[in-house]
Order: sequence, then C-alpha cells, then structure tokens
Amino acid sequence: MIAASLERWHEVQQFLFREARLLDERRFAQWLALFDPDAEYWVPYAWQQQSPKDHVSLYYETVKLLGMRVDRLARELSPLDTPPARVNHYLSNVTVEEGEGELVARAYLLFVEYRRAEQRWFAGRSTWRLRPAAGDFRIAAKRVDLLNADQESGHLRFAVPF
Amino acid sequence: MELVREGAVHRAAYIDPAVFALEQERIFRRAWLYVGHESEVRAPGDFVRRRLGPEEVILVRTETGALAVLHNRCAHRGALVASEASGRVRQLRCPYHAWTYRLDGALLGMPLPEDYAEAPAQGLARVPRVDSYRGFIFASHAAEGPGLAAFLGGLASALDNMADRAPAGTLTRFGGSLQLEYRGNWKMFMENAVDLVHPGFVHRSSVEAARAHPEALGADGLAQQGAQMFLANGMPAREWREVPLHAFAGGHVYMGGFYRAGVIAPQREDPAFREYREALVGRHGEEKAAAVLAVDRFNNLVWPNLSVNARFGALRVVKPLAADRTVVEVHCFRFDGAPPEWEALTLQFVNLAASPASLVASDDLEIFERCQRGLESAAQDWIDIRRGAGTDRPEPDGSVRGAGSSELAIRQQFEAWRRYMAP
Repeated sequence: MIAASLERWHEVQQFLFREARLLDERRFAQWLALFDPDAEYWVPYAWQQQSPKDHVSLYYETVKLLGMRVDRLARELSPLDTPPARVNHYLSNVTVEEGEGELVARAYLLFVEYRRAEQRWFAGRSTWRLRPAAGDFRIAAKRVDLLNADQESGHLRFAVPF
Repeated sequence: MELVREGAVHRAAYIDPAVFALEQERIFRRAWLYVGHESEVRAPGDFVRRRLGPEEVILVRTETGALAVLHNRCAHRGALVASEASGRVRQLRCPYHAWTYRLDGALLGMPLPEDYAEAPAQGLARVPRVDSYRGFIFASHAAEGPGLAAFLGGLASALDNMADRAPAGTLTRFGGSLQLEYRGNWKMFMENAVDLVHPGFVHRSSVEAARAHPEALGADGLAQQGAQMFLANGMPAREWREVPLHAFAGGHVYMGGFYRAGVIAPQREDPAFREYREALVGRHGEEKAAAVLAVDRFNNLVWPNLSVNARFGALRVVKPLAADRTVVEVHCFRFDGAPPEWEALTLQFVNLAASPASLVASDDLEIFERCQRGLESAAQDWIDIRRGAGTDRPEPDGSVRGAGSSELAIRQQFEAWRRYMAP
C-alpha cells in the first residue's frame, strides 16, 4: 500500500462524502448500490475486534442483509424509526492508500443523530476497502469502529447505519 | 396499596420509583439470580464482574476451586476492587490504598497495619448463597430460602436442554457480550418475550422487508438466517395461537418454537446438522439425542430476569437500573463438540435478534419506551392482562398451559411478583 496521489485522494474523498450524504438524505437504495455484491458492512462490538466470526458485533451484514435493513427503514413502518431519525455523518482526517486493484480509505467519523426529543452523537473510525470501477468506486468492505462500541452501560437502539 | 388484582395490574408497578425500590429489596434480594457460567471461571483466580440485582459483584473461582460471589466494594473506603470486566488474579487488590483480599474475600493485609489500634478484620462482603446447575451459576442475596433446584422448578429443563445440546458435554461462553439499554421498566422485557400477539405488528417492517426480498433466502448464510428469522415473525395470528405457552410457579414460563424453515429450523437434513446429530448420538445414545433435539422452544424465562434460548446457545440477563431504565446483557455459548457452523448460528442469532442495531429487538425496545411514557397518564390506572384467560389449562403439577395468544405468562409473572412483594 502506498499513499494515493492528491487527485486520487480528492476523488475518494468526494466518493465518501457522497456515501455519507446518501445515508443522511435517506436515499438508501442508492447507498446500497455503492456496495459490490460480495461486500460486507461491519460495526464491531469490541475495541480492535479481530473478526466478526468469533465475537458479537453491533452490525455484521452482507449486502443482501443490508438490503432488507434499509428496505425496512424505507417502508417507515418500524416503531424504531417513527418518526425517522435525522442523521449527519461528518468525515475528517481522510487518508487513502493504494494497493493492487483496491484502495483503503480511512476517516474519523462523527455521527450525530436527532430523534424526537434527543440528540446523540458517536465518534468512530471508518475504514473502507474500495475498488475503482468505471471512473467511480465500489465499496468492497466498510468497517466502523465506534470509540464506545462496548460501553458498559449498553446502547440505546440504532436505526440508520454508521 | 394492592397493585395486582384479578386480570389487571396497576400502572404504578411500572413507573413508581418507590415500587422499583421495593422490588429491588423483595425480588432482587430474595430470588436466585444468574451470575455467570462455570466456563468463565475455570481456574482459581478467574473472575468476572457482574451486576447481581442492585449490587456490583465479582464472581470468582477461589484457591480451593469453590465459587464465591463477592461484593465489589473495598472494605476500607468503598472503591470498586475490580474494574476490569474479567481477568485472572492471585489476589484481589484495591487500587486506592492497596488493601488486599484472598480470592474468597478474606482480608489479607493493608499498608501500615500498625497504625490501627485494632487490626481491621472485615474482608470483601460475600453474597451468602452461590450454587450452580448444569454449569449455570446463580447467587442469592438472601441467606435463606428455597434451594436453586427448587427455585428453577419447571424451567430447570431449559438449562438441561441447553447443556444436553453440547456433544462434548460442556458449554463454553464465547464471543463477548452485548449490552442494550432501554428507557423502560425491566418487566416489560420479560413480558414481551412471551407475548406472541405483538410480533405481527411490532416487527411488521422487517417481515415485509424480508417478504420483498425472496432472493435473500437463497443468498449467503447471514442473509438467509436473517430472512428466515424475520419471516417467522410474520406468522398469522391464528398460527401464533398454536405456539404453546407453559407457565410455572415462581413466574417461570417458556414458549414453544416458531422457527420452521431453513437453517434456523429445529431439525435439518443438511450435512452439518447430520454431523451434529451423530455427535450428539455419540454422547447420549439414539433415544436421548432424539429427545434433546425434539425440544423445540424459543424463549425460556427464569423469572425475574433470565431469558434462555437453548437451541441458539444464548442467554439474556435483564438488569433493572431504575423504574424506567433497564440494560439487557446477552451472552453466547458454544456447544462444545458441535461443528463450527453452530458458533456462527449463535453469533448471527444474537446479532440479528438482540443487538442494539437488531432489526427486531430495536422495535420492541421502542415500544417499551412508549409504554413507559403512556403509563405516566393518570387517566387509567389499571392495565388489563386478561387476554386468553379462558384457554388456561392447569396441569396436575401446578403448572399452567395456555395458547400462544394468551397473556397467561404475564398473569403468572405478576402472581410471582405479588408473592415476592408481600412483606
């Protein structure tokens, strides 16, 4: 892996901002279309979790499973998401490394969610494996490590993905 | 004031902080409460931090191999002695003034003992009763009362079934634990877990999402298991009615299974399941192995605060923190000797059904919070729990069977509640 060129870094950053905006604007079908069919979306429960296969996770989902998740949100039938949460994904500290046919992008995440009478926020570190595709990118894997993933007091429920 | 009467319960049972405080004293300081599993404390010095009713405790294996549950409070200035979730130590040592304790809680020493006219003797306070059943460790803050087996009563069968499902004869905790919080009363979780009329409504969004994606049933394992779990919740109400409920003295209850198809079905014909069944036959013999696999139940509730899912190797411990605040802690178990697919099945079950991001549990928790808010209303004090009372069928052993659509379980839980809460 080598650090990407300034131009590449800019392209990737624009892609990540677009991904964030699709989630924030609840354009879930378009968000899902950014993923390759074999992609995985993972939000570990443990800090520096090595694998989703030997430990519980907050989210560990394939694209087909994610498809049901976002379809459910789009239907607006879920008590959890009524009224729908409003969220912003803020990304910073973006770095991009280039490897064979894939890139790895990293960013710090600030996720702010407002719903009903409460605003809450989560800080995390997001990592994407990206594949260049026809002047654009496809997500091969996305991982979000929340600083407080395993907080002792537990978590209230989550609706919109990180 | 009587808060439980025939077919109804007063809203104060859910929202009144004074009632909550009394519950802590009369239920959570009297009943046996699940505290951990033998596999978490195999060797002397192994400990885990837990909450046992209203108290922070440490479950520890002592030098003699016995189990002790100690209050996590230094006998000196009161600091938490253990701050890590688990570990292995030779002795317990308070980080404040370095008072040290033997693994059974006895005081070993402190700096400057000569500064005391009379040496302190108080060690870490011990929870008076600790016992284990098939590897599942329970403790009680009450020095006296029924033994663990008597307490478990009809629901010991759930722990038996989970332990019997391990071909090597042992279960092992694995995979960490999930904690999910909701701003509602602890009893709501225990009631909802065996309320079989709500899934078609509360979980409609995930049922419809799964119906809209039939291709998920033929996709990867995660999507398959998810789709099968979501679809199962969409059973018509008349089919839910056929899912049996069986309630016992003490408020314990189990519901029958309702997963019928695919990887989550109780009996399967795929190679992994055949391998598993053979391993189980190797342990138990044909007849018993068949009987173990034939037990098809979903939630098994050991009242007041344990939910056992034997088939998926999952436990949920309900931790009441306030009248309107509860944390549910989820533990996974490996069936030792089972093919590796079983671990995946358990982790995925827990991720899908019990994580804070679950497509299922999150809707339940939202509803609990709405109940909590709604019950603040003084417009109507009594909550009706009569549904299906006409279908109750008392058994000779004192237990009661009922239709899945019945509120039998809730009535039985409040009968236990009423008994515990009596002075």
